Amino acid sequence: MQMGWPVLKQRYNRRAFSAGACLLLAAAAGVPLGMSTMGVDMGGPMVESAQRVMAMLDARSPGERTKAELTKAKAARRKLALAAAPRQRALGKIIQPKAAVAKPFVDALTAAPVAAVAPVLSSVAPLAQVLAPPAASPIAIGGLIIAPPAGGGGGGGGGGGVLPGNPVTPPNQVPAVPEPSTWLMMLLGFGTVGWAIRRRNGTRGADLRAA
Amino acid sequence: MRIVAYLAMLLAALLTASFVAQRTGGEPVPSKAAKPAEYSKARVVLTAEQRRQAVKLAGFVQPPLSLLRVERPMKYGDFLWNEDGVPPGPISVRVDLRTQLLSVLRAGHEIGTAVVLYGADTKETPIGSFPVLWKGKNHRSSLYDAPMPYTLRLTGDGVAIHGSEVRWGAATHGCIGVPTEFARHLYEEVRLGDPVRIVRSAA
Repeated sequence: MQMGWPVLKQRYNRRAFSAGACLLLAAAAGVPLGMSTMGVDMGGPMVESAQRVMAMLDARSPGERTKAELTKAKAARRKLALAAAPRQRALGKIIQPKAAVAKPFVDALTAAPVAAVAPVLSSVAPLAQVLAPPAASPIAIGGLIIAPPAGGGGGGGGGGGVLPGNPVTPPNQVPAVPEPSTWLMMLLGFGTVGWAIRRRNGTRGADLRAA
Repeated sequence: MRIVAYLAMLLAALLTASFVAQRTGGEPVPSKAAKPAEYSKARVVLTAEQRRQAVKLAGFVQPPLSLLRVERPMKYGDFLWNEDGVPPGPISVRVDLRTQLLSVLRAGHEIGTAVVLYGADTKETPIGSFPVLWKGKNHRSSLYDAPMPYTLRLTGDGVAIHGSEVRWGAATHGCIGVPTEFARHLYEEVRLGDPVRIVRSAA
């Protein structure tokens, strides 16, 4: 075009000039039109087409997560469970012996010789042997302290807390939950009663069944 | 050369005519002239290169033809839903954990986007492609005893997209949490088996 322009100017100066002027005028008039429509249609995408998709997505992102606290979804249930939980327990008060009293007492007990006192509780001794745990811990039965038999000696038991050397009175503790032996005795008693009732009603029951 | 001059005049006449028509015709013709302009105001049409990038780098299931134009960075709880002029077609969902964004595509055009919550570091959201297994409108999680409206379940062990309160600092137990209103739109749009791809894009 640049090469042809002087030639054109020479040969068709009038007509070409008028045409060119028309063209320029039209173009000048069309500029706002072109800008207005293309600015919406093409301008945006043209600008953004240079962008990478990831950059476009990053631009709308709130950014990477900086803090991630777990949503406490179970809060309602926890609150409910707390409300439904019992405030008090139905068990009696458990009286704990004072540590200062209990420790020397236990020490004295474990160090106690076998020939302590006359075995007043000889009838209880076999039970103690049965119930004694393998560890050398003493068992308390209803306030009486029975030490596990040491070696093959006569099933010893210190009764009433009367010990030679250092007599310490044991605290009078009443456990809330009955001791195993108490349970055993109770079960035995109920068993006996049941057996007696069963025996007494035996014939009557048989009659009823037969009828 | 005379022909060139005539052609130039013709062109000029056409241009001026169109300009005059544009200026005088106040009401735009609804069908052809107005729609593309509206269309591009709401969305950005992607180039072929960008489409390729979107699938290769951004992890879109289907190459997106256009994305919604989002003017500013979205805040927690923000979402955008615009399906104007988008034809019916296959649905796919893309979730990016790094940018915390979800995009819904229909027939290749993005119709919705939202800021999401995802699994905490101890309860990570799985990455991969998942078809929607189950839909539940008024679902209540038995595992967490929490309402999960508009649930779209993705995995057998309970990972889902569901409505929740999207706020800063929060994380889920592995689900994708979206604003409930957005979840409603999503629930209506997505059918069972539609693909959901969860990615963590490179920065």
